[in-house]
Amino acid sequence: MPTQRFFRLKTLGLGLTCALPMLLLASSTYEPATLGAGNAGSGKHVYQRYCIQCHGQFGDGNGESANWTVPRPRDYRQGLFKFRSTPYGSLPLVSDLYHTITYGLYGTSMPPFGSIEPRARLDVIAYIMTFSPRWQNEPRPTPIEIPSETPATTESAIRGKEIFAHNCASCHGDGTGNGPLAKKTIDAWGNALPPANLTRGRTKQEVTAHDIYRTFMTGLNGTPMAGFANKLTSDQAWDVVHYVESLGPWKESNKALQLAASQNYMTAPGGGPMNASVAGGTAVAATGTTTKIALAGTISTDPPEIDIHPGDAVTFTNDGGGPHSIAFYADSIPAGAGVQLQANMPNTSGPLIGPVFSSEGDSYTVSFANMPKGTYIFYCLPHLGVGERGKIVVQ
Amino acid sequence: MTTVRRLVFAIIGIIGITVASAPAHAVPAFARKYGMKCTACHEAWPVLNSFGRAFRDNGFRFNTGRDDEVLTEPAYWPIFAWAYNGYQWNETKSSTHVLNENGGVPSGGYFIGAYVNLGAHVSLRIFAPLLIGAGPTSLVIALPGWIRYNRFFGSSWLNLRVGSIEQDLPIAGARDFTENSVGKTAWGYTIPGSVSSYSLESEVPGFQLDGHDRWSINRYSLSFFSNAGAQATHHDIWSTPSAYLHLTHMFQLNRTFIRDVEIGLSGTLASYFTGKDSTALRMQQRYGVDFQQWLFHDALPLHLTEAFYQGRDQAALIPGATADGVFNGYMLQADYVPTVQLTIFSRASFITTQQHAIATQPGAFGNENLFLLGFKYTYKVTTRFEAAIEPSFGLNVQPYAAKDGTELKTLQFYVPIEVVF
Repeated sequence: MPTQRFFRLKTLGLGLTCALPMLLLASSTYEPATLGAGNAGSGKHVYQRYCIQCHGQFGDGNGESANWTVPRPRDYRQGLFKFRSTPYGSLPLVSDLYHTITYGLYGTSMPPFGSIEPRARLDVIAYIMTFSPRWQNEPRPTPIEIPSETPATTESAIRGKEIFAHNCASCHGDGTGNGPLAKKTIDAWGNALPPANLTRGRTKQEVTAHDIYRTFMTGLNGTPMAGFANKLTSDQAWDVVHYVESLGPWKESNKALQLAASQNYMTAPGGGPMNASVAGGTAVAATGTTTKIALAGTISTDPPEIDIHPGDAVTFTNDGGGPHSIAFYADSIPAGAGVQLQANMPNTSGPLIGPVFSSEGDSYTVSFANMPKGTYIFYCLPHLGVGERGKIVVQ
Repeated sequence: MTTVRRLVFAIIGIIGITVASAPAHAVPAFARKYGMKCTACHEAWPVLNSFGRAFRDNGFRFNTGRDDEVLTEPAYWPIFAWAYNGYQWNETKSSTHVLNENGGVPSGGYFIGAYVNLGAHVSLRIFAPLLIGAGPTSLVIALPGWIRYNRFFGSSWLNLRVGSIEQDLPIAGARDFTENSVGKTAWGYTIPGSVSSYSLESEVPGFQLDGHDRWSINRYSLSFFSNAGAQATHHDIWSTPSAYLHLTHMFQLNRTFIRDVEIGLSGTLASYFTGKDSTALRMQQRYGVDFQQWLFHDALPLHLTEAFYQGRDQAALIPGATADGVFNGYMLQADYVPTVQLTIFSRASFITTQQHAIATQPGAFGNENLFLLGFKYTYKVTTRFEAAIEPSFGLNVQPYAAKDGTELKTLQFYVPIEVVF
């Protein structure tokens, strides 16, 4: 039989007839339109197959592989999830967890599980919810609204830079994550958590402008990255997004934003924390009374204002809400007070920026001995976005 | 022939020579690298689940920016080892006589190898021979190797592998549950008397283009390979040019009963020589369809596989033939996973001769009925070390195949213990 017989058009036609419909089929991946509750019982088996080695049998993030994952796996027992569409401190939506499970977290040990069937992903979310009572005790949160993006212009990026310098640079520095606090940032579980390098064009879950906006406004629960939804307007937030996009090869970065990046304007405005020169002083111990200020990481509608006398001290205590770090605005203290204040702040991590005290009950004391009279405005660096700040008046 | 061409042929030839065996294995090196259990990627190793298949399709990467070796745990070492051995009982009998019966511990298998990711695009499997014993009875085993460039032009649809090619099948020869040599899949069939031993299960030297969408819902695999490998009597591995194509599409149905369904189409044209050189090539043809269903649960599924294919060898490949040999292969496999550690597998494969190559052959000559039943229980010592026990029973029934013209039955009961490190 001649070889050519094997190439008969009949056979070829049959093959193509079968093959073409397959090639023309659109993706049949089922993506649930509304992400309802999964089955926790079924999800337990999914968890045991895919998750347990990192997140542990009890959801405590202490699985067998936890010691060499970067960062350490999520401890589900507190109900603290970084990547959400909901306000800072809130539980995430099911769709937020579904997104994280599906796409993973870039640059970490969390792989994408989009290849396992959607129902299994919903089931394992239901099982994860059993680890924390928050899921039973708290109402379903409402996601933040993300308004239409403002034009991504050079001017917008420059405005965003100003906001960035005041609110973000202490950790993110020039965008590479080299801020003065960078080496001391830790998460709610006491693990080192370096600030994101924003110059690489993507972070763990942020690729688009929409992603950056969401994270900027919602913050990352359990980390020093607080949400700014209650501090900044949406236009200001979009300005920051455009500035961030100007720092690196972000997916939606454009020429106008790149132009902004080419202008070297990374100097902190108004004599802010970035360029304060406060070195050279000698610490003076307090001799007077000590006043306590409790920090809980919540929105401060009535900022604390206390009156003290020269020689007194102020002790800031961690009353919950994750890590805290006390800082003073260099342009919001009496003229010439910076050097002595810096000297009286133990273990500073930057100009007028105190160390992170992460555990509930921890405290940080600043002596006001040898300090000039006047008003000193302080803020909690990780919770600046939720307005945790106050005023100390030395009389 | 240019020097470069000679060098390329030499490298590929060396790889081809090592394709004598196509071992099944799990790769604990991956578990160590990513901190995951073997069961994350395997229904029961080496059979991949959807997550593991997507990982393989991506060149054994998760593409989360942490695939380079240097970014993994400091203690990570990409080498793996795999060994199996155990008690085996075999019986071969005709309808009238027991032709052979023996039991004991065979030589087993011992392998060592490495999977490595280099930079953003290159993955490779390398191998090292493992010598068991000394002198003329020593056993040298090697894993076939390959190198793969992932994501040409940044597209997951364009990946190129060179070296030993595992044909893309629902149950590839290198990815069976068991080392039982009886009760293999229908794809392992070769027409009796054909000078070519080509089967779809074989790993072959060549090139493979493959691609897929993000979650491996749609996939293709196109291989160009040498059927005969690098035969010493022929000039190069292209003495027997052949091609294989497999297209698959998965439907993620998200129903309570049926979770996922996959349909696949495959076709191959393989050549083989009938003379002393490549000028007398004759063709073999295989084409078919395969279906898979995952029922009830993703993590603990009842996994069904059905396949139908037709094969044809040209008459010139079968000494004494007056017509092409044509056969049909059917297969049904059911795997049930009641727990993450346990998989119960069963298989029935039926080969029926549609057209006899030799007119005098009796009607059912060449038919084969193959059955397999067993289970595999895996025990995770650590993510660095797993063990398994996999008792299985295989039966192969071939009418008219015994010397006395009666039915030939081959039975094998095998209880190997496997360890992977």
